[in-house]
Formats: sequence, structure tokens, C-alpha cells
Amino acid sequence: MKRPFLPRVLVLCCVVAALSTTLAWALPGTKKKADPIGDLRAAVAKNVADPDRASRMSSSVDEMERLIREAGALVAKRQQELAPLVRDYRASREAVEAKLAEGNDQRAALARKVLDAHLAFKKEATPAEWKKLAKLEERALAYAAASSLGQEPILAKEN
Amino acid sequence: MIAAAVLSLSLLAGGNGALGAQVFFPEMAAAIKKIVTDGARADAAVGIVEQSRKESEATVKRAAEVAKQFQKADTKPDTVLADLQPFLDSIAAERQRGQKESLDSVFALKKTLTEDEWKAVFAGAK
Repeated sequence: MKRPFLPRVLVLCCVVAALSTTLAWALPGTKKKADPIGDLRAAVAKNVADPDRASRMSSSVDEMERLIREAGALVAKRQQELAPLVRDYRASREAVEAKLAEGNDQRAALARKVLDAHLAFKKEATPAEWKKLAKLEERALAYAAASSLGQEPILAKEN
Repeated sequence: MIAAAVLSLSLLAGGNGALGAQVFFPEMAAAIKKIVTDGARADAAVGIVEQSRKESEATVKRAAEVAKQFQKADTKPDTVLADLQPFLDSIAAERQRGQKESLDSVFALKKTLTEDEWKAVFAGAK
């Protein structure tokens, strides 16, 4: 059974953003140098015998990584644009709202694309393969998201 | 299992936390108390900052609950987009609610502080 990893990650991500401090997903003693995305690619190559499906799954990994990187860049750009605006005493609420709405639309589109790539990846896997790959995918994407947000990628402990 | 990445990026990217963090920096209440000499206005401003902090925490809690539901729905091997889209929509709604609350606080604070006080408070912010 899968443990509720996501809520812990999300809560900590939000807290980190709110406090502008270091992202921490964490359990003590789990920080290590790693390449979770490379691990996922290797696991696909190892566990998916069908080369066509393996290729499509690898493409989905590439796409997810690319989209997450793009989303991270968008976050940085939006924050750079937003910070001076919200701190400007004379800026109107309408101006800030317009900037936020613009970013929201872009983020929604990116989030949907990442979700599509995830579902495409998952669809290619057999139940047995998915059992082996699910946790690796989770780690890889969490790592990519942390990196794209400019945070130190601290990984959750293996279960 | 995409949920962690999608939801964190989706919520953080300009969400309540990110917006709030650009205005309500950690030492803000102390800065207000130091700069605003009118005690009543200083107390009101600090109250706004504190209220914003509580709202941010509430947003995090609500988002965590959505994340839990997302995780559960995504556990099934045969999950399709229709199963997960409602959770993305919920996260988007939470993000917009958080943004509105943060903006309410920002503009309430602007009404409470003079322009010079506002600038002085932010002069110490990173």
C-alpha cells in the first residue's frame, strides 16, 4: 500500500514558500546526492521489456522533466515580476490581480500537461511494472519540482 | 504519483504562500512596531499581518486535504484524467482564494500605513 507521501510533501512545500526558506521533505538522515530522474529512466529500461513501451515511457519522463523545469522557470519569472508590484504602495489592486491571473492561466496549462504526461507514462506500464516504478516516479518528480523551484532537493526516505 | 510535483508547482507558483511571502516577510511585525509610532495603527497593522499568516496556514491545510484525496485517486493503476482533474481544479480554486486573501491583507495594510511607513517597513525586507 502506498503511504500518504504527497500530503507531507505539499504541506512542507507550501510552508517553505510561505516562509521563503529551504524546502524540506524530510525525514532525518535522508539527504543524499542522487539522481532520481536517472534512476527512473534506468528502472524503465530494466523493468520494461517491450522496447516500444519503454521508449514511450522514457519520452514521458523527458516530457515531465521538461515541463516541470518550465514551470519552475515560470515561478521564478512571476515572482520577479510580482514582488516589486505588490510592494509598490501606489500599485492598484487591479494591476496585481491582472498579473496573478496571467500567471494562474499559464500554470494551469502547465500543470495539465504534466498530468497528461504522467498518465501517459502510467498507461504504458503493466500493473507489475507500475508497482516497481510508481515510487521511483514519485521521487523523480518530487526531485524535479524541488530543483525547478530553486530548492535543495532533499529526498524522502525510502520505505 | 505526479501529484507532488503538480500540486506543489501549481499551488506555489503565485499561490497564497508565494504572494504572501513577498509581502509579509517574517520580521514584518517587528518592523512595523519599530517604525509606526502611532500605537493604534501599529497594532492594527500587526493584526493584519497576523491574520494573513493564519490565513496562509489555513490554505496549506486545505491544500493538504486536497492533496490527500488526489493521492488516493492516483493510486489506482487505471487512473484517467477525469479522475484527477477535479483535484487540479480544487487546487486552482484554493490558489485563487489564497491570492484574494493575501491581496485583501496587502491593501488593508496599505490603508493602515502611510506611504513613508510602508516604504520604511519594506526597506528592511529582503
